[in-house]
Amino acid sequence: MPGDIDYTKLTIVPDFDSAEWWMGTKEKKYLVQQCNACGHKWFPPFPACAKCTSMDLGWFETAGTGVLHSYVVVTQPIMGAFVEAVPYVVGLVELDGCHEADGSLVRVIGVMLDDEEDVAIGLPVKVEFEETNEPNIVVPRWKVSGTAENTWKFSE
Amino acid sequence: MIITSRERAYDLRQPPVFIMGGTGRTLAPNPAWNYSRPEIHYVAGNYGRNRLFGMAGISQNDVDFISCYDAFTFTTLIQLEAYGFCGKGEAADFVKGGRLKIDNALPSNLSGGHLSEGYTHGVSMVIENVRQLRHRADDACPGWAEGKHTYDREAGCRQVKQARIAACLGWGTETMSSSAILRGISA
Repeated sequence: MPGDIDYTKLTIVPDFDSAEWWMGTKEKKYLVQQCNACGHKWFPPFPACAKCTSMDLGWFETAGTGVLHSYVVVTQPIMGAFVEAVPYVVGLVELDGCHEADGSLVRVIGVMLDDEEDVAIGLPVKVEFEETNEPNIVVPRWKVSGTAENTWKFSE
Repeated sequence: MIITSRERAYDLRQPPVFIMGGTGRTLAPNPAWNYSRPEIHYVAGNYGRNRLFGMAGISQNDVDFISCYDAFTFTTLIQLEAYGFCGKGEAADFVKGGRLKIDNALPSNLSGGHLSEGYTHGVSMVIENVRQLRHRADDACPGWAEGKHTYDREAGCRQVKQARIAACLGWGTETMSSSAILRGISA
């Protein structure tokens, strides 16, 4: 497991578009934005539906599970908050339950709780919520939750 | 950079360079962010290249040199595939053997690019391509301002010998990236 992220060295400020999403993580919900007019889902949040241009937007509560679509390993801490955390894995997670008929899907990015040797593309993952020094900011992390038949991993 | 009509451009002091084609704010078939599309490595070029080359009326083989947005080294490889200079997954073999070097088949980022000149989000690369197309790269050659170059690389000449058509490749998601194909008066 990677080392701790020092959240005292990060300032996370929810903005107009993301405020409700941060309220969701505080309640241990992984939300994605959803258009009330056409049902399209996306993340990160922005002010209008890119598919039908409606500004009547709501939120879809995902199961907080998905499949690891890809990942990178960060070895150099660019910000002070991550000095103790390196090396850590940043995962690209394809969320369950967000696939639409036209092929739209939602992938999200998060810092994994697993070490590099324990991750592989195709593995199922689930969200875990990590408290920070700021009571209103709860940060989602991702963790491998099982096994899969077809996985892939880069090797030199 | 001054963009003006063809007629006025001929009257200016510097040799003109013409815009053959370009893209800006290209649209993808799916409104999602690129990492929520089936192909996460697709960038603007994948969606805009047919428009770019179609507008210019040329193919990738007609391009003498390129500039590409090298925020990192791998973005050059992705762009070569995205804009169709080679097939998907072929960029590593494409550049092997120094194809992108100044005197080889497809010189790239002659001013040094983002990694070696300065990170100006591509505009200095367009300026460099214009200088190259005018045959007036401001290098170490004493006569560069008159378009006289020695082509002595050791002595600091960076003018491409055959500089007729340049492609300015843009990186990024399609909504925020642009590209252009330029030609000099000799092309």
